[in-house]
Amino acid sequence: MKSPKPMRRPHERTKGSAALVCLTALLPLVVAGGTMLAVVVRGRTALETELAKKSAADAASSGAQDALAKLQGDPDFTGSYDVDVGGTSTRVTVTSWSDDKVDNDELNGVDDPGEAGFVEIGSVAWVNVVTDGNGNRIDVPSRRFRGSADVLLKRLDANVAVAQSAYVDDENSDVEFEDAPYTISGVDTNLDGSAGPLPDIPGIGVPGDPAAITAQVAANASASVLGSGGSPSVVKVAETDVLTLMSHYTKAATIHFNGTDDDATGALGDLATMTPAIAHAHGNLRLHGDVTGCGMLLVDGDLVIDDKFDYAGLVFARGSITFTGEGKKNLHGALLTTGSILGKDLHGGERVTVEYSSSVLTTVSTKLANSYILVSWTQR
Amino acid sequence: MSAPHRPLRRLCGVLLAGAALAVPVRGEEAATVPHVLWKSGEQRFSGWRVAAGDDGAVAIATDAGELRVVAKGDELEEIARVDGPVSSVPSGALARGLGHAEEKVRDRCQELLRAQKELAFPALATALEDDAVEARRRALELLVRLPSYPKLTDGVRRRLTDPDEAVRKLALRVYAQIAPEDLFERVCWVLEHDDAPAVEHEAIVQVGRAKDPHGVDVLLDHLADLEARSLRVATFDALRRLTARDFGRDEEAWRAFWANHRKEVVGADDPPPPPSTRKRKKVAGR
Repeated sequence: MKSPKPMRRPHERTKGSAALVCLTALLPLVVAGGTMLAVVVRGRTALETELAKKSAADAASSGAQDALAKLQGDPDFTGSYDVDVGGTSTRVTVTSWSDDKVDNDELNGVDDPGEAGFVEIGSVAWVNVVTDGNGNRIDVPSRRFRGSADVLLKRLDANVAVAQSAYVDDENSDVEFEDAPYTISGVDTNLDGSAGPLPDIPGIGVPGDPAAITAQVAANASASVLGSGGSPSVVKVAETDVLTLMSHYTKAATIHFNGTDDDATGALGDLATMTPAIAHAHGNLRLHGDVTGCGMLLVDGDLVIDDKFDYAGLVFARGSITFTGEGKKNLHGALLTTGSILGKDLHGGERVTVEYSSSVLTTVSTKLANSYILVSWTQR
Repeated sequence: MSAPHRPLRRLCGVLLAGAALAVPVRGEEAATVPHVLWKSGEQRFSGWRVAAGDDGAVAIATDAGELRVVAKGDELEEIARVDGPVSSVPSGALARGLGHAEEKVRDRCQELLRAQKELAFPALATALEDDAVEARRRALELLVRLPSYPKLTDGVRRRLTDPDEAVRKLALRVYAQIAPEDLFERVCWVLEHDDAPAVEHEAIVQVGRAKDPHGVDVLLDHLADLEARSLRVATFDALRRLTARDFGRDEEAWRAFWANHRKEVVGADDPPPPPSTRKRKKVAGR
């Protein structure tokens, strides 16, 4: 007896097809999902890497900043040390080019005079380094990120060769005080008024024909321009590159006036302790109130000195220097200007005094020589 | 002195004092000047004692507004005197004294006019036209220190072509203080036409202070044939003031900057001016 042929159910074939269709439809989704997952994971890894690199760079930068702070406290510091920056260890090395037994500038041999004054800071930070139980680094290249900062500094040479109490760069500029009393003295005088150690220098120095300025000084019966080279002491001197000097010292400025027309009052450095500071005005500057200071004052425009003023050091101006208002105005040191020296509306009969002082200039230059100028900063 | 003269002298003194004190105070009094009743021979007159010269002569600003110089030999006798405010001294007489032959007299007249401040303006206007160079120069020196007075614009403008170099320089400075509408035009004219270094220097300074960006064209054009160090230094400073940029004393850098930025500063439809005739003349002369 023949067994009967099993009957095919009518929808069995349809069911298999549906599964196939489902699988076919799911496959791209799975592929797309997998791809997306891979992209997300890769992106996350890249972000983590980026963050780690940035963290390493930041740590290296912080290490260099720490070395700068250390040099501010101890300008002669050299050596290596570790800094912990938010859990990241940074190795900082401070080297003086002058005695590191290396030809750093690749010119004229090892530790040549051209390398004098340069100090290099190397700061290296490592992030995501696996360490053992004792904190020692285990070399796992795939998880190591390095940041570095190489900083080159040059010690400030603040020793300006002063050949006159007031240098007027333009022979056709004015030294005009409207008959008000003033003294510009090239006689070396200490801050306390006692005689200084060096011989007299000219009161006013001009790199050209001094006749016009001499006539202006002579026309004012209350003017007193003292020093070597005649009476009044207005003398032709060698040209001083005022602009280059100013741009050099500007790099070491710690007090800034960034506007085109600024005013300032108070202290520009500490006169009482003779702690100098370099102040730089990017435009015109008006000093008013009771301004005292010590160091260098660099003005890229016109300088107006109103009210009381007592300053020890060097004053540079790209424009004119005008003394005005009431109060005693004393500058111990020297001034250099490319413009005029003027006295306008001076009240109260107080004498304006610009007095050469070798001891003040030596103190200022010696103390400012502990400052550094940034030559380069390379961050990797 | 005989007895009848005494009451007369007392009377004159009282009258003089009364006259001096009765004069209204005009502005701040910086000084007093002796007002004196004089006798010279049979003549009597009153006036302000301005100065005594080295030769013993006395300069008197008379109440009639004249400057009278009485020589030592003229037996000048002072009958009565009282100090009066400097503002009461006739400015016209003092202005005439600015050109006096004696330096002491010139100096004293200038000092008193300075003390009179704005009250001296009308007299200074006259002094600007004085034949004496010294009077014109001193008048301008006074005007430099006084507030600007626009009514003097024409008088000062005439002095821009004065035969004397010092007068022209001071006139330019006073003209810039008055700041009339044609200031920039005049200053540029002086820069182009005046060869005196002191005047040229002043013109460069004033172009720099005029705040007209067209001044950069003028200065760069002028710089092309400029060799004097002082004038070049002043030009670079003027360029810095006009542009608020700083390329130091590097002429090529200034020219490059202006070539690249002129349009954005003065406008695209404002072409650069042709080179000045002065420059062409100099170039042709080489």
